[in-house]
This record gives sequence, C-alpha cells and structure tokens, in this order.
Amino acid sequence: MISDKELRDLAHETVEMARKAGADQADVLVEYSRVFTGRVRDGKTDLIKQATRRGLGLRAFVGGRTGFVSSSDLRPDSIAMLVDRAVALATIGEMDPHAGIPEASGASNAADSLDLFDSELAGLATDRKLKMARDAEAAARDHDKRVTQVDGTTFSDTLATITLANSAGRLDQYRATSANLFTLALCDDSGGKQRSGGYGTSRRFLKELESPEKVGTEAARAAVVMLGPVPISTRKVPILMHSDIAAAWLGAFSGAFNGEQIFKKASYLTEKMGQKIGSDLVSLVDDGVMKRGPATAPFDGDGLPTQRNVLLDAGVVKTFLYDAYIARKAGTRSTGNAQRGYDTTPGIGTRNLHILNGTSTIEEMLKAYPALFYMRDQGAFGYTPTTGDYSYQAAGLWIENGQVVHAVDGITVAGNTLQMLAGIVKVGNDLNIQGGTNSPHLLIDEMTISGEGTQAG
Amino acid sequence: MLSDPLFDISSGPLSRREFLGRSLMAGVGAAAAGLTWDALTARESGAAGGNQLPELTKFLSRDQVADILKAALSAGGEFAEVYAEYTINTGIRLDEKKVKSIDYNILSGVGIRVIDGEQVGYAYADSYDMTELREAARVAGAIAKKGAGGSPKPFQVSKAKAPFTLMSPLPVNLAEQAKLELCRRVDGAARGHDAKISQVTVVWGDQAKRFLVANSLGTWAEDEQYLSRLTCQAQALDGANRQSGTGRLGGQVEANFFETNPPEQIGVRAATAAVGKLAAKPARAGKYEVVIGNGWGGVLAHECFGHSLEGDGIRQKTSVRATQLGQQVAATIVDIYDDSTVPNGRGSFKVDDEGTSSQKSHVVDKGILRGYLWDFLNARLTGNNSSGNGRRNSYRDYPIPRMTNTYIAGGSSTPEEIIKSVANGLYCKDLGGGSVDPASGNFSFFVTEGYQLEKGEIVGAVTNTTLTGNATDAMMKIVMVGNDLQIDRVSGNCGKEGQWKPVGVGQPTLKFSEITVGGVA
Repeated sequence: MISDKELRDLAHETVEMARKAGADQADVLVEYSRVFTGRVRDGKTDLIKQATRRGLGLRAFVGGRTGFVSSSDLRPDSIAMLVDRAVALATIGEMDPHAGIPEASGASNAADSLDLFDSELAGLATDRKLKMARDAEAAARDHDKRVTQVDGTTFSDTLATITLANSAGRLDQYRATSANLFTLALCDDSGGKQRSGGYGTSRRFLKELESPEKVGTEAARAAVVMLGPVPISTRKVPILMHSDIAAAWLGAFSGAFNGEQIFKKASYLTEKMGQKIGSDLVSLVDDGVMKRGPATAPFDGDGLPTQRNVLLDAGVVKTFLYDAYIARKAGTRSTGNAQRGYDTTPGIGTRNLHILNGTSTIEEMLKAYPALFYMRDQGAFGYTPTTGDYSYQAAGLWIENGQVVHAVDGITVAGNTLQMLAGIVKVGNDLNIQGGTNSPHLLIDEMTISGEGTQAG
Repeated sequence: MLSDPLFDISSGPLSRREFLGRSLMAGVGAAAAGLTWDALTARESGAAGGNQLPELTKFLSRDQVADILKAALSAGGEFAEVYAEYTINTGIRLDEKKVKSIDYNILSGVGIRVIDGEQVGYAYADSYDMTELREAARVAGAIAKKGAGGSPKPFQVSKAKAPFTLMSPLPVNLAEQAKLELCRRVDGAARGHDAKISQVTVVWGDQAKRFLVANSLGTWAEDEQYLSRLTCQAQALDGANRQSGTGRLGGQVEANFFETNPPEQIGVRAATAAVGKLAAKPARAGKYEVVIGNGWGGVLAHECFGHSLEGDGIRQKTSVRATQLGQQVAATIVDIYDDSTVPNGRGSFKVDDEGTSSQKSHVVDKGILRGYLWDFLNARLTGNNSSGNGRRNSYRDYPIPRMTNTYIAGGSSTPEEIIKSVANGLYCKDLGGGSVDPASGNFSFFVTEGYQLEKGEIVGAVTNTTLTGNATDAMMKIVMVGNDLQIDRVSGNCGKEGQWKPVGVGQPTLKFSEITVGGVA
C-alpha cells in the first residue's frame, strides 16, 4: 500500500523535479485505486479480478510549449526519465500564449462536504459482494419463467485516491468510492434469437445502491417485454424516450456546449447563447458538486474547484463549458470542467449531467398520444456532432391509447437535436442519478421511424 | 462495437453492445468532448534507440516467472498464466495549426490468471516487484479452494513464426519532429483543398508493445507489435452549415511508410468529404438496396458475424450462432475469414495474448458456417483447440475471445457493375462505427459518407445516417460481391467487456438487396 502522504509527496516532488529540469510550470495528477470485479453465473462465482492500480501524469510547460508524459511505473528512476522526457517534448511544438497551469485560484471544495467516500463500502468483504450478484441473478430468474439465462451478473467497486499538485503551490487530494451492480437477463425468442434486458445500479455509497432484487427484476422485465417483435412501417410518430435513451442522447449533444467547439465555431450552438432552443420544460444542468454524485469531484483536472453549471434554463442557453486553457483562449473563466485521468491531458467534459426532473408519470406520457413509439434500446453510434443530427438503430414498444400493443425492433429513429429539444412535450418525474449522465423519460412530439417500405407521400 | 474517434460513444444502455471503433485507444475517456486519441511516442533527438522497448526478461527472469506460477497454483488451481508487458504510446495533436500536445505514455506491469474449472481469478501489478507479484499470484489463485497446489511444467519456448517482420518499426524509429511534420503536411493539404475548410484537426498516434506470456502447461512466448496511425478531421463551413470529413493512414508499418504513401492524401480526403457534404440531403427513410464500399465497410462482417462467433457466447449459448455450425448463414457467394497473418494488419501478430500461434480461419465457406473463434478457456471447456483468438487490452485485463483481421473475401463483380445495377438505393462509401447485440443479432452501422444512387448513377451526397438489420438474415441478402477486396489496416478498434483491441476489417464492394436506412425524409 502507498499512503496518502506518500502520494502527496510523490506528486509534489515530481512537480519540483520538472521545475529543476527546466519547466517553468508543471502539474501532476496521481491516481491510486483498488479495483474489484466479481461475476457470477448460474449461482456460482465465474470471475474475480482485483488489483491495486496506479499511475502518474505530468504536464510540463516550457516557454508556452506543452509536453505530457504518464506512466504506470512509479519507480524513482522511471519518474526521473519521465520528467526529462516531458521537458524535452515541451520544446518541440510552437509557443502558445494560452498554455499553462491556471492562475492562482480559490480553495477547492472541501472533499468531506461532498460525501464521496463510504467506509462501509471500502471495507466490504468479497463474500458479500458476490452474494449481491448472486441475489440479483436469482431475482432475474425468479421474476419470470421466460428468463432462460442470466448472462453474467457483475458487482464491481473502486476505491480511488486522486492527488493533484502544481507549480503554483496547489496540493490537493481526495478519496472516493463507487460501486456498481449489473445484470443481463436473456429470454429465448423464435428463430434462435434471444432478447436481452439489462439493468444496473451505480452509487458512491453501498447503502444507496438499489437492491439486488430490484436490479434482477428490472432486467428480467426489460428482456421479457421485447419478446415477439412485430415489424412496423416507415412513418413519423411521437417518441417516448426511456430514461437510458434520453441520457445517451444528452451525453452526445452536451458536446455542443463544449467551449472548445464553441470557440472553434464547430458547434451548432455557436451563435445561440441566450437564445431559447428547447421547450420550456427542459433545464439541463452539469453539477460537479452534487453531494454523493457519481461524477462529483472537489477539483477538476486543472486543479480548479468544480461547480454547478446550468446549460439550459427552461430551454434557454445559459452556459458553455470551459477548462482553463480554452477559457483563457476565449477570454472567459473556467467552469471547472477539465476532465483528466492520469494518462490523459485535460479536456472539457461534464459531471453529473442531467435534465431536471419533470412532473409527468410514465403512464401519463404513454397516454399522451393515440399512438407512439416507446424507445427502449439503441445502437452505439448515430449522432453527428457538427449538426446535431440523430439517427439510431432502435428497439422498443408500440403503444396505442396508453397500452402496449407489441414489441418492435429492426428500425431506426431519426431527427435533429435542436428540433427534438424544441419538441419535448413532457418530462418524466423519474430522474434517478446513476453514473455520470442521467435523464428522466422524455416525450418528443415527432421523429421519423424507418421500418418496412418507404414513407408514403 | 467498432468506433471512430471522431464520433461519440453514447453512454446509454450499451452494456451488452459490442463495438468496433476506430481510435487507437477509444476506451480512454471517449467523452462528450468528441476527439480522443492515445498518446504517441516522442523522440526528441531523432536518433533511433532512445525509445526502444526494453527486454522483459531484464525485469522478470524465467525462474521468477516459474516462481510466480507456482505461487498462483498453491491453492489448487488447474492452470496459471503470467503476462508481462511494456507498452509505449505516443500522441501528437495538431489543432488550429498548432501542436496542442505531445504525449508519451508508458504502460508496464504483470497480469496473473488462474483457472479452476470454469472459474477465473485475475490480478495484476503495475510493477515487477516480486513481493507484489507473489501477492498478486496469491490473490488470483484464491479462486481455487482445493488446497494442494500442482507444479508448473518446464517452459518450452514457442516456435511460432511471425507472419511478417518490420525491419524498422515506425513508432520507435521515426523522431517526434518527423511525426509532427507528417501532421503539418496533412493540415496544409486539407486547408489548401478548399476555402470552405474552417477547422482541421490532425492526430498522430502510435503504439509499441512487447509482451511475454508463460503458463503452467509450459508455454513461453514473446511478441512485439507496432501500430501507427495518422488521422485527419476537416470541417467545412458555409454560413451556418457545418459538415465534417475524415481521412486516415497507417498500420503495422515501417518508418519509411509515408515516403511512398504521401500523408497529404488524407487531408484531401477529409476536406473533399466535408465540402461534399455541404450539399448533402437527408437519406430516404426505409428499406431498400444498399451498396457498401470496400475496406472499412468490413465493419459489417465484424458486427454481423465476428462477434457472434466468439467462443464465450458459443460455450454459454448466448450467441445466435451457437446452433448454426454447418448451416447456411450467408449467401453462397460469401466467404469470411478471421486471419491474424494479414501482412501489416492491425490485428496481426506472431502469437495471441495467450501464446497461441497466429492462424487464418475460414469461418464461413460459400455461406456455410464452418468454425468459431476460440480462446484457451472456452476451447478447453468445450473440447476444442484455441484458434489463436485469446486477446486482451493489456496486462490489466484477462484474455477473452476476440477477432483479429476479419474480412469477406473478394468475388467476381467490378465495383462499377455493382453501382450500375442499382435502380434506387444508397452507396455507403465510408462508415463511422457499428455495434451489435449478440443475443438478438440486431446490428447498426453509422454511415458517415453516403450517396444516393439512381438508375446506376451517384446523384448526390446524403447526411450521416444509420443502417440497421438482423445478422441472421442480412448476410443472406448479399446479392453481389466485388473483386476489390481491401483490408483496412489503419484504425479498427474493437470494444468488448470494456476492453479495446486493435483489429483489421475488410471486404470488397458489396450489394445488399435491402437494408433498413435511417432517415427523416
């Protein structure tokens, strides 16, 4: 084990070494984490993986040029080699007046008040972790006899210590825990096909994880409803986005709020600051200081304090997101959105991004139109950052008068993000913060489905 | 899943999706910001030798490996394995004509796996310290509960032959300034191509990796792999109309590769695609004839076939292909290979990450399913032999069955004949990424450069769109196979269980009688 103090000393000393080697500025991020994954199948332990993982990343600045090095090898001679290399790399590029660590800033948020570390989770025995996975698997099987297999139920958790030091004298550290329980239920369908349904829970605190019973039951439900899909024809229809689908969409289009894309005029929101682009019902928030938030951190990858940023307020564009470098370039202030792992240079990203909870129940939304498509699954790719165009493979349920008529797969759902934001007619009351990006269910007035044939007219 | 670094990977319900991607290490923070890439190597002096990979036996002797294997078996495990690795990644990003960063990353350590029946224990150390490694061996070995441990067999050094050998691998033999100069040439070519080009981002990425794998059955194998990739994204701006295009070049190539493969071509390629899309219209929604271009179009075989042939899904019967051996699974004009011996291929190697020799597997023969892709564990549990498909992201990950270079073999039609045969359809010249749900076989591909076809002619560009279908019938709908097989060696990155692995994909130009095309029109 490496102690917290040893990690702080390592970060601080590496910054000092970089200065001695010729860097006029430097910062160092050290990651030290204990990781565990346990997987069960058919009631038995299938896989256990555990390790203590470490790494250090150093940014060195020499006369406005940047070099970056990182390594999993923290032996002193390896660090010394890395420092020399970072400084050497920082002589190759051209001078950039905006490069460098942030100017001195206020104190970072107090890590304790953000409540990121659960000592109960940190001390949890392996047997109890595996039992949660077994219980979730059993719940999936027990929920419905049509569940024929459960494909690997996984409990994983991480205990991480993040340390950041820079040449302006900053030395910060925090510890954080997280746990995740996930299962995937399978049902046999015709033609040798299977239908899968997954459900997971992810939290900082053990006591806040949803129960294994809920995880298993939800996965089983999600699989069973997809049995026996029926083709539908190409048409324009209202779309009810499942919270997972909505979260995936907002994770994609949040890139349009990235200050770097704005500065480079590469975002379709470039000219939209202060304008109303979304329905009154839509408020979008990035919140780096959410208590116990899965993506909360006291400081960002530049070492600046994180904060809560309102991106859309009742449909109006309020904030674009910045790290220190792009903020300096664009003549504005960092919003505390530098994201950085030990092996990556900082880049702009979001934390606990979510659409604020609405007031509609899912039942109300299902009944809002005589017929609609309830989108519950999607392919991995289909968003175009430059235009906001949306075109995804989809599966889900065909709904008439609030009732499920049949499952649907093999279609695509397409639209454009700006039209979709403006077309949100109801926001669900089911926001459930798990993982870094979340949304309640969203009802959109009209999108295009590609299915059988081509559209009439 | 196979992905492109220029397109985001959504964070949604993708837990079971398997991906093919294009970035060198797409797993690292493929966040909302968009572009991610991995680090590249930086050599400041320009003299070869400053960046060479160390011999792993300097860190870990054979006796020490035997000692770790013995410790790993002490709780009664049936099989133990040690995987030691030293990898250097180098990256350069040129943005707005300036070097945004030059990155150098080292990943070095040892992973230990113990198998007992169907159970796997895995542990690793970011270190070669024997105290830490013995502890990791104990942790991995604890999966077995029998008590008494066996002894590892004496090592037999692998006699596997490399399918090709690089005399002067680019990552460790080209100076950082020279890599940067390649980026600048691409940037200049893209900007010079058209006045509408408003932004150009050029990313250099390379990786030099050496590993050794040894196990309690006596396997001792070492290999090294070198990947290089140059990527360009160009944006065209016309009023408020923004479009982007991409170009890429590289593979497991020699230091002088770019002397005969001018980097300017990818700047021109990216700029041409971006400008062309300014006039693009949305694709027609519906199900109709589709032609998919050669090379990277092979993402299709990767998603429709490759994943569903992997031995874990076959053993556990979670794949739709588990019961299809010997059956007609594709049109009779279709032959599919998984081949880790492709010269300079992105998924090529001497031995896989379990020490098994590379091989060429003919998995689909005239439309009949003939074989699966096996790693050691799943082959052992089903009475098969590994087909050399046991691969892992790094020593921090356990091996799982993965594709290498997967492609559809060439046929007899010319690409011109194929396009001329389409009355009203879509021509997909380039794809972003694809994904598949192996349980249902539902797949999707993202078309990033597409054209409407009418009466056998290309009539106009379409905006990005998604194709979808089901693997069980899509391959039956291949009605023409081109004679222009091309294997993409540059940028395929396949994601599965959170592990990313470089792969090759390939195909000739193909025509499908129908595929569902996403669209708003």
